[in-house]
Amino acid sequence: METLSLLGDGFIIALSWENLVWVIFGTIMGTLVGALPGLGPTAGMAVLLPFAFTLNPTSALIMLGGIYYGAMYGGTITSVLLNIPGESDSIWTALEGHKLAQKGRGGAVLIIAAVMSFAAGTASLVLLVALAPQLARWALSFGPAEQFGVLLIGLAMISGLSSKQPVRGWMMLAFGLGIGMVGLDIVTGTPRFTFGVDRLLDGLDFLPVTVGMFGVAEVLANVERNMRVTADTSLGFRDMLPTREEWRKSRFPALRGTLIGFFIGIIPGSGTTMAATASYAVEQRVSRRPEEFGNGAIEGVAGPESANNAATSGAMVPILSLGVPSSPATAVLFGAMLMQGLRPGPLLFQTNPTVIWGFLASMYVGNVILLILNTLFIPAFTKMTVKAVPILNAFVLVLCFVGVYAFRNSLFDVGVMLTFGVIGYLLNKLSYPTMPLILGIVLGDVAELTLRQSLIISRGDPMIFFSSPIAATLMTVAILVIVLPFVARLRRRFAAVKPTPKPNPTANQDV
Amino acid sequence: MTEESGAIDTPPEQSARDARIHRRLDLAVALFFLVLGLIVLQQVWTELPLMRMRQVGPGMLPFGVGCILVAMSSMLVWQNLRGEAPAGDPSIPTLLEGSRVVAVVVMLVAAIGLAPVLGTLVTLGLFIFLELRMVERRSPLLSVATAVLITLFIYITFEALLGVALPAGVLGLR
Repeated sequence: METLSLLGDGFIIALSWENLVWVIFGTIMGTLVGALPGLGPTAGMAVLLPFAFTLNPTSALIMLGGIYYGAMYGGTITSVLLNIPGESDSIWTALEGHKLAQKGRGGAVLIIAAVMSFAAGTASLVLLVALAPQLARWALSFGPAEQFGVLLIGLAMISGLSSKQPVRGWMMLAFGLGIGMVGLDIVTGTPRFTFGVDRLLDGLDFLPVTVGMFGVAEVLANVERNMRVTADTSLGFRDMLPTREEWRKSRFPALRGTLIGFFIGIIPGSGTTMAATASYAVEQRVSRRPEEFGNGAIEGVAGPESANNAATSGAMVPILSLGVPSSPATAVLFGAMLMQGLRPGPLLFQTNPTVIWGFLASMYVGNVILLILNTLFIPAFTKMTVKAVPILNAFVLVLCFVGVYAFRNSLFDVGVMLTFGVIGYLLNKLSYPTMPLILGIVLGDVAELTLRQSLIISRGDPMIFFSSPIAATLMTVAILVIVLPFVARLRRRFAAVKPTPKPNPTANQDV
Repeated sequence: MTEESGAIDTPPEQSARDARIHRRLDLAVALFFLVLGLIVLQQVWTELPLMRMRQVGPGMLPFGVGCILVAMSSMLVWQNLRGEAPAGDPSIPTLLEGSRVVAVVVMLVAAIGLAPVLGTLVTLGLFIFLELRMVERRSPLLSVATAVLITLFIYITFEALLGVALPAGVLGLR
């Protein structure tokens, strides 16, 4: 009952004219960002982060949240009509949806995708609202040692899962932690890694680094590819309304996709692509007509589309209840919260209930707006996407430049942004995951604080991390998450170099 | 459909060249992180105590970070020297593709330097025009029109609506 009452208050906040404007703005930007090739939700959120800084915390979160889940809808349009997955989580939609579009079912596929995304988004929000406050209430009993355990699990999972080689993930995490340590030590005030440069005493701010790593780096990759959209954009909706059979085929894939997406979304480091891929794999396996997959199966659109939308709600659970972002986009959201003076985690529900419940309610409102946008304005979005591609790179770069400058009126920050843009571009080229890096920057301070608080309480005894059952369990899980990927890799290596049996010297005599 | 400037079917000799360059670049990055880790450890050794007044000092986490960087980058260097292929797509940008990226970075560096001289809006207008015309090979008309419209958008959004004082040039132009 209490949750419903708080959610009701949240709706009053979310439906105020000011916040409604930001929901609409965020969802439109998200849809465009999702539809535009080479610009994902993380880059979109990073580029608009300086805008968010000018808003009040509730409106800022509402706008950034709108971009995040709006991007999941946007990716569908260009995937189905142009066979261009705006993001990697839309590849299954492109594979099946475009085949259906070629058979003249493009409009119907988009309607099904929008409705199923809406249903999945709304259902997963119910799960989010039910789960996050309960988890947060439980996490309130955590002391610094338990908090450090939770952070360590999050960091370890993301570093281990974000790359095929955990070594690279851990290196990026250490690099991110190192960047976060530049400036004054949070406990003693000792300068660290400033090398006598006064400007570095304040540290390297999250905003220019993030805009550089995600916004500028993405644009540099686009510049290299020199992408041009040459598709015929005449939509040719011969039949906008899905048939009864198409609705029937989509129901259960959407339901399964919602559950798969939500629970995969909760796992740090998993992301929406894994959710969509898992859903596609399940649908292919349970289908009575698996041969249709790859040739235009509507189940292959409804399942993954529901899964990637549900995963965005799932990804909100760890950030809101435990203070651990589980994806690059939620790491940007985490940084935005810190910039706004909020401390993501279990206390958020108690210290800033209006912000958090307003944000959660705005996600319901945003889903309704997205359903309207993605059913009535599909042709307009497609045309806008195609028109925007030629000027996209220049526009995004200028927006990054001015946005980062506006943050602190500093061209030095713009230089930092450009430096990290080049670093991000090179790291992406060499398959170094950027997610652990950004997480190291945003979580470094909190992780260090909880580590040092724990050791201050225990007077330097590290056994504090195993002193309570919860802390001991969390630390054990963290250690397993750290060690297992390396052990698995070593086992694979030993299996690969297992000596082959020597040829029998007498064998030739038998021939 | 999208068109990309890179070749679709990479000839075998180019694949071998790409793999070789990719491996060298990967080794260079691993060595960079190895040196970075050693610098971090040197800073901890000389300036950041691990313990202070029987409590954890400012050097504890940097020490951990330095150790991880050295250990992980050493593993990558070792793997590379043993001839193991680095992870990921080994496609290396062609000279033309690489030069486009370098041109944009150089133009951005120039924009940072020129903003306080010419004014931010003038500089960014020039940047957009040059980026579209020289890097993306768009038509002169589209380049000029886009430069003017985006500059106007930036002026209205940042100066007029958000009240951000963008750096003015020596002639007083924004």
